[in-house]
Amino acid sequence: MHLQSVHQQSLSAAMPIIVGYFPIGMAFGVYAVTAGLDWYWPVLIGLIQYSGAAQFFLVALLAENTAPLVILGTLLVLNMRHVFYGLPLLDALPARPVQRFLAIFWLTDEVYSVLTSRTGDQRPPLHWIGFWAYAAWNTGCLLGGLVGDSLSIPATSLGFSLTALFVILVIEQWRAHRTMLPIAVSILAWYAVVSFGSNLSVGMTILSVMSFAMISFAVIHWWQRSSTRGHR
Amino acid sequence: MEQAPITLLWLLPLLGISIWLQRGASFLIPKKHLDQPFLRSLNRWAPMAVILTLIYVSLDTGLISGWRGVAMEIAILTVFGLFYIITRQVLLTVLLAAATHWGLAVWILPAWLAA
Repeated sequence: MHLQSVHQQSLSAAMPIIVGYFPIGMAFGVYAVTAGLDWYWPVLIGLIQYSGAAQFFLVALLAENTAPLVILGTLLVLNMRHVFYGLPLLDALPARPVQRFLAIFWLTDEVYSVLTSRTGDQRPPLHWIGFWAYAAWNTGCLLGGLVGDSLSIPATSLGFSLTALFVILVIEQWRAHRTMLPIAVSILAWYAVVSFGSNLSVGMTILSVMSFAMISFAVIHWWQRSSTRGHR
Repeated sequence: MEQAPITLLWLLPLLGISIWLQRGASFLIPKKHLDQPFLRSLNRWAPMAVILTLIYVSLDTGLISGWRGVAMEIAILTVFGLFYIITRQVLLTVLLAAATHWGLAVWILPAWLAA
């Protein structure tokens, strides 16, 4: 595929993510500065940690003077769902080491969702989609940190664009694989979230634990299959 | 927050490394396993289950708290889901959904609640 068309395809696929990430990144910048951090911390956190919800939790936990090891443990559990995200994208990882390193770091919920809704030639390179999302998020964080609380941002409404994007991606996934299993599994996950008080952090933790359980199940399954073959 | 910058200096690199390791963990699985029936089945349905659950936990983002807010957001998403099925315009659908949400949150609902 021609390089320019790859860039255009990636930018076009990433545009809905950019539209959602930029204002939420700004909201994070404003939030961090309002909580008492200097203007450059939001973008530093975005560049190094780069995990939307976990960044908000980091600042909230810091503001409550939580012990650093507790913060580390909490965010590890919160982000556990990411362990699961590489599975459908095993063949999408770039070959070059630097691109590979960055592509893994840039694999967020939204990048995963966009990439898994496309297959083969329709799937733009993981690292390019990731790059645009990363750029949008951190530009938002920087601007949010700079403007502080002097600007009123409709972050919740623009953040809703990501929910709308998820609906579009579900429609595309449904067109590709008409199966009821994901609906049943997601309703169970949602029920678990509601049972624990409809709290986002609890919800994300449950998703993380479910993902971890699924990975463990898969690994045990493969291990059993390979050891059975080994005995033959 | 006085101690936060000092904590962040050593905590941030650890957080960065941990998220990279978490995101990279499943890529350690050799590609030959892609043909395993279990993985093929998982790859078919798991992304949709993850995205659906992300939709559920993303709902109620500030219109009105409680079930009415959730119901309104489901209604907006249904309308724009249908809009997308008809038009196939991703960006336009996403922007219109956000604009509708914003219009409801900033103008229509406050006026309606005040009346």
